[in-house]
Amino acid sequence: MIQWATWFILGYFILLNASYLALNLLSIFELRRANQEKLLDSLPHVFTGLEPGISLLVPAYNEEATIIASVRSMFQLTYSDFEIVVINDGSRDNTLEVLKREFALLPFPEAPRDGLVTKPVRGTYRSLKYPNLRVVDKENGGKADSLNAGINAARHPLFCGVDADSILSRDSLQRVAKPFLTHPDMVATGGTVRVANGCEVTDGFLTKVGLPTNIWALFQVVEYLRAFLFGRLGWSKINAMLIISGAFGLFRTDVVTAVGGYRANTIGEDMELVVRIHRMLRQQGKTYRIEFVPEPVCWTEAPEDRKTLKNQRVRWQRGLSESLASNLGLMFSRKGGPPGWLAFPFMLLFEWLGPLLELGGYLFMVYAYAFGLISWSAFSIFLFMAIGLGILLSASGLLLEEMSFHMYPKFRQLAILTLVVVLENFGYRQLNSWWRLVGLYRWAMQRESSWGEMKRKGVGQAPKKL
Amino acid sequence: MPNTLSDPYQELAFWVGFSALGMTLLLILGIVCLRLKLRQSMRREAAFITLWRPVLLEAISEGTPNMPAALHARDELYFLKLWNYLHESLKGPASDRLNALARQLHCDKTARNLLKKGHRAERLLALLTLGHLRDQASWDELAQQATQSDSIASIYAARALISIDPLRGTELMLPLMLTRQDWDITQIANFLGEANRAFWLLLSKNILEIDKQLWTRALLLAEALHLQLPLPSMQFILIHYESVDTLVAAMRMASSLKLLPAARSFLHHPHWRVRVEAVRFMGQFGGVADLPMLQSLLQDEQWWVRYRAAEALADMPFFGTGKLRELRGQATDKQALAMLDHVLAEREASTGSGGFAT
Repeated sequence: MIQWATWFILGYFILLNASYLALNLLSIFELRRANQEKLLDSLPHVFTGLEPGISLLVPAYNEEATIIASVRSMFQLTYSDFEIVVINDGSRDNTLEVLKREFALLPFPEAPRDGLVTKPVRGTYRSLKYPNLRVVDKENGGKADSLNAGINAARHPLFCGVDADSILSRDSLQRVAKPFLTHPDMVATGGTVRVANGCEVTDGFLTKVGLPTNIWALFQVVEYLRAFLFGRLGWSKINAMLIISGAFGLFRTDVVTAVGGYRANTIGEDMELVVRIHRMLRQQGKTYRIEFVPEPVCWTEAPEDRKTLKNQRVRWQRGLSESLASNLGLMFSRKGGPPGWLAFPFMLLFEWLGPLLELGGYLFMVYAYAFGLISWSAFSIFLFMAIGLGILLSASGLLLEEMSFHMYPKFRQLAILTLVVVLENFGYRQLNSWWRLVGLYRWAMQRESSWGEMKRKGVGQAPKKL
Repeated sequence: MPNTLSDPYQELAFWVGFSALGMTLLLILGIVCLRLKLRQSMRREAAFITLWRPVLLEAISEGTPNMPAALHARDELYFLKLWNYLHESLKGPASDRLNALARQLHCDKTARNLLKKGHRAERLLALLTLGHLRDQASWDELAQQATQSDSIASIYAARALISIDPLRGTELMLPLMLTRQDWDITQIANFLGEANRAFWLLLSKNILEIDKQLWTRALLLAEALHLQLPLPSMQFILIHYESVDTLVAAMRMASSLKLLPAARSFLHHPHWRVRVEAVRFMGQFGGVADLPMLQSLLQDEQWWVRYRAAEALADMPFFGTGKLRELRGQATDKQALAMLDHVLAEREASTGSGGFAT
C-alpha cells in the first residue's frame, strides 16, 4: 500500500511538472516568433475602418471611487471604432451618481433588445459629451448578469469584458483584436494580465513598471508570469485555451449570445463561458479559434493581505470547479479535439484535483515519515524533488518574461524576482494549495456566489505608486 | 527505522530533483546572459541613434547630410530599423532622399543579403527595406517570398512588390490578396492606398471573372479604399452572389439609384444583415413608394433592422424627423414605438437640443 501510494505521488508530481514544461516549450516557440515581429509592432499604425468595432463592457458594483478614472482612461484607448458601456449592477454607493455628474449623462429611451435574460434594467443613460459612452443601470444580479446586460446593449460585433479597476495599455484593443483580422473563424482572444502593484499609474495608464514591496503581491507577480506566459500561451498554440481572464477578454458578440451568454449563477463566469464555447462549437462541428495574445495588455491590482488573497483563491477554485463540472461533456467527447482530450483532463487532474493531490502528497509523506513507514532520506528526497520542480517551473516563467518583454529592466528587480521564484516554493505555494482545497470544499457544499469583495488601494486616479 | 521504499523510487526522485535544480541554475544563468546581452545591445543602439538620427533627419529635409564615419557592419541592423521607422510616415521627395542615403550606404545590398541569408526577424526587416527602397533587383526574390506560408513575411513581401511597381505588383498579388485569409485585410487596405488606382483598374476589369467566393473580400477592400465598382458589375454581383457575406458587402457599396429595384427585393431577405443594408440603401435612394415597406420594417424581429428602418425614414428628405414624430403618434406596435422613441431621441441630441426626448 505504502509503495503504491509513494509511486502514485511521485508519478503525479513528475507528470504535473512534465506537462507544465511541455506547455513551456510550446510557449517558447510562440514567444520567439512574436519577438521576431517586434520591429513591425513598433511601426506607426494606421486604421482603415475595416477593423471590427468593439463594445467595452465595464460591470460596476460599488465602484464610486475608481469608476471615473477607469472610464476616462478607456476613452484614450487607440482603436478605430469602440464604445464604452458601463453596467451599474445595482450599486449601493454613488457609482451611478458620480457617472451622471462627471459625464453629463441623461436618461435615454433605448429600445429594448431581445437577447440574454438578465435582471430588470432600470434605465439607460447616454452622455451628451461623449457619444460613445452609455450606462446601463440595472438591478443587482452579479458580474455575469451585468455582462449579459452589457452584451444585450452592445452595438458592435466584438465585445470586451473589462473589470472596472483594470488598467489597460493604450493599444490593448488593437492588440487583442488583431487575431480577428487574420482568422475569420476567431471567436475570442485574451491578453496577458500583469500585477499593477508597485507600478506608477497616471490618469489611468501605467507609466512606469515596478515591483511591489509587499511579499504577497511579489509572489503573485511570479505567479502571473507563470500562469499567463506559459499556461495560456502554450494551450493557445494548440487551440485549447480554457480560460480568458475576466479582467480583459475579447469575444464575438453573436457567438456568446448564441451559446447563452455568461452563466449568471456562477463565480468563475469567465472560464465557464470559454469552456462552454469550446463544448458547444465542437458539438456543432464548427471550426473556430480562441487565441491568447502574449503582450501585456492589462494590469490589475493584486491583493496585498493574506485574507483577501485567500478569498480570491477560494473563489477562483470554486469558479474552476463550476466551469468544469457544468461542461463535463467536453471531456473525451468524440469531437472534443485538444480542448476535450488534453486541456480539460489536464485542468481536471492538475488544477481541479491538484490541491487535494498535492497537499495529500505532502501530508502522506509527513505521516509516513512520522510513523516510520519511510526513511528520513526518502522523505527529504521527496521534498527535494517537489520543491526543485516547483522552482524550475517558476524560473521558466521568468525566462519567458526575459525572452520576450523584459518589463522589469533593473538588475535589482531581476534579483528580487529570482529570489521570489525560490522563496514561493517554501510555504506560499503550499498555502495556495490549501486555499484552493477550501475552495473545492465550498464548491462541493454549494455555497452562494456573489461579487468578490477586495480591499483596494485604488488605481489610476492620480500619479501614485501602488 | 524500517524503510519500505526500495532504492529505485528514491533514486528516481533524487535524479528528478537534481535535474530540476541543475536546469534551474542553467535557466537563471541564461536569464542573466540574456539580460547582459540585451543591455549591451540597447546601449549600442542608443549610441547609434544619437549619432545617426540627426543625419537621417537632415537627409529627409535637405538631402545633403553631414555623414559621420562609415556605417559599421555591426550597426547595419540598427540603421535599417531607424531608417524604416522614419520611412514609414514619409512620401514623395523626402522618401526619395532617404532612399538615396540608404543606397549610398549600400543598404540595398545589405537588405538583399538579409533576405536571402538572414533569420526571420532579419528577413522581415529586409522586406520592409526593399519595399521602401523600391528595389527592382529584388523583384523575383520578393515574389517568391510572397507565396510562402509565413503570413507576416508573405504579406510584407506583397507590400514591397506593390511599392516597387504598383500596377505590376497589384496584378501579381491580386489573387493572393483575395485568397489568403491569413493576410490581415486592414494591412492590405493600408498598403493598397499607394496603389489605389491600380487596384481599382484590376478589380473593375476582373471582378466578374474571379471566383464568386472571393467577391466578399474584394468588395471589402474596395469599400475600405472608397472605390466604386462599375454599375454592371454591381448588378451582376447582386444577382449572382453565393453567400450572405457577399451580398452584405455588395449592398454596403451600392450607391446608385439604378440598384433600387435590387435593394427593394432584399428588404424581406431571410438574413437580417441583408435587410439592414437594404434598408440603409433605401434611406438614401428610396422614394415615396417605399415608405409603407420601411414603416412595416419598424416591426421587424431584428433590433438592427427596426433601428435602420427608423433611421432611413428620418434620413429621407421628404419624410424626416418631423414626420417620424407624427408616425410615432400613430404607431401602435410596441417595438416600433420603442424604436421611434429611440431614434427621435438620438436625432434631437444630434441637433444639440440639450437633452434626449424621454
